[in-house]
Amino acid sequence: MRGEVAAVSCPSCGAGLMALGGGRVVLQVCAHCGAALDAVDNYRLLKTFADRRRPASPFQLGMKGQIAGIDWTVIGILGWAETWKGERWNWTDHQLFSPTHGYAWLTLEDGHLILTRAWRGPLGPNWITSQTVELAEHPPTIRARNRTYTYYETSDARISYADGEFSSVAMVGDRVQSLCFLAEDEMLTLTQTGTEREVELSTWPQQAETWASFGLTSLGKPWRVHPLQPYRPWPNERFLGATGAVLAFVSLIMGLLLLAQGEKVQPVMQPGASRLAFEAELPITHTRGLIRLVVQTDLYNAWSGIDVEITDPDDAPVFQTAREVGYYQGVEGGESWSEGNQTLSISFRPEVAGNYRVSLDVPEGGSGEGVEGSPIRTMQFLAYQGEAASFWMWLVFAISLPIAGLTPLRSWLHHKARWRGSDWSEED
Amino acid sequence: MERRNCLKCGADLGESFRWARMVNCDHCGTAHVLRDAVFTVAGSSGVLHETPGLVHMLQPFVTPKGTFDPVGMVRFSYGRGAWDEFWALDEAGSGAWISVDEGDIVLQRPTSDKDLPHFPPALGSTIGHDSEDWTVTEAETARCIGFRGQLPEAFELDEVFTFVNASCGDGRLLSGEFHAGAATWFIGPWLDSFELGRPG
Repeated sequence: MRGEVAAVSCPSCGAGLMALGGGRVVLQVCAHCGAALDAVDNYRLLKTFADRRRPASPFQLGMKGQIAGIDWTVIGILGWAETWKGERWNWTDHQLFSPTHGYAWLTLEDGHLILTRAWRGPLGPNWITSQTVELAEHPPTIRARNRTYTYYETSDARISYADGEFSSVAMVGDRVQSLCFLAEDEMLTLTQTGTEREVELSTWPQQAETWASFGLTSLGKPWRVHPLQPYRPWPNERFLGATGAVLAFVSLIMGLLLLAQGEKVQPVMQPGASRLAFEAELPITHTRGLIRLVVQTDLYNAWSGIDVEITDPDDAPVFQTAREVGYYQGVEGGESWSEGNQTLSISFRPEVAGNYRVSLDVPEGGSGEGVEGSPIRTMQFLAYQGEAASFWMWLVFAISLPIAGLTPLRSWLHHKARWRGSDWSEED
Repeated sequence: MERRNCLKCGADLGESFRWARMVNCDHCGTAHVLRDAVFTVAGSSGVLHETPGLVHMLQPFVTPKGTFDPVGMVRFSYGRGAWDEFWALDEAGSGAWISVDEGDIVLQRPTSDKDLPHFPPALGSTIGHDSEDWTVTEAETARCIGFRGQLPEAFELDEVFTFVNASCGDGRLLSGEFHAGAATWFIGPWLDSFELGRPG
């Protein structure tokens, strides 16, 4: 082969330059002196950037790795900075080159790696401007790749560092405004520079594999969820969720069935020694299930102590107990509140059938502090037999319901975390 | 084949220039560029060395627009690099041009040039076609540096022509080629290189 071979050297400092990209490289920035060279025009010096501070990225020019089964080489490094309302964001783009798939960007942001490439397919609508976003009442959407992308943010970033080869002219100090639209696992970025419009598609590649393929170790677990980060269930989360859902369903049905058990018992009432005291005889016909006694009171902003004594058909004491009922209600800051209960409920299991005797008295009571209370004036006594204990079913239901809802809840929290960085506001 | 040495450190560059126009020195990393004779011409159809790519002669591939079998290929140089045009047959046996340039892939067929210019429009200008306004995004010259297989038209080695590419933002590319006052126009969609696959 005949022809003149020339070393590609920086015209500014004379350092030898590496040519790693393909034929579409248009800009090369000398890693030694920061000179920006026109790769299309015989490496003519365009500009020199002094005082450059390389972003903290473990990726180096010439590193090779694999993403999505495609071999890539790092050919350029771009540092970006964005400032808004006193906050500052920094990230690093690495220009990648593949002989088969062309050019792409590998972005390192908050410990996340993002792969971005050009998208030239049809969009619906064809374009969205920042003015359209500002005038919209709802987040604008854009259709592409059989997906709907919803407006996420407008980025107005500045190039703070450049080193290596680039498929587009990217000078330190250049500002680029982009509109970002997010779908479930992809982001579309619309950038307009002058009359040139560019659409890019970003995805969140498998992180550990990507780091490893470039021979690097990750910077540790990122401290925040990236908008493109997919939901990652815990090990066995699906099994746990399914089990929880089945348990919750079964315990709910069982609980409702058990609640429907039981029949009312007509007590024979006799007045007691005091106004509220009474004795009741309960004709219990069988020993299946529980006997449940219900005392409904009308106390209000007050409490009462209730003594209950129960004897079996042989006049032997079954148990004796003292319970307190209290009910309070009020309004605070325009909000009404209430606490306590006006009803007392006691259950026990009968050993034999026959007439049980219930003695009830209300020996003490009072009002709550600082409130006008009304003690018990009347009471209603109800009794049931053959009732089933549904407590354990409701306990199982209470435990299994959150387990059943684990995936939907975590998924919802993940969705909220992904959209936390959006600058869309309904008040805009 | 001449062997070359690194102009910076003197290390042997081997026979790398047989396959590539730009070679990095293994020792010091300095790139070397071959300014002329980018590709050796041998015979009337040129020598086309194998390059990495997603499309290869006689290897059918699947796209969202159907399956294509490349039966012919032409390579054009645009100075800093080269791109391949494959003449490929779809499942119905109808031919289409598939342009492959470092991951940028376009599927095009001839389009009526009734409303299109016969001379290259300027970069950045707008032309009307198919009820759309097309902006010229690229206008360069290219040189045919080789061809092989079955092609629908005759190509001449080393022929230099002007080409333009224009976009209207709907995912299609309008391309014009200008040879001695005659214009040929092609139109078709971009194909996503990530969506190309092999049949089956």
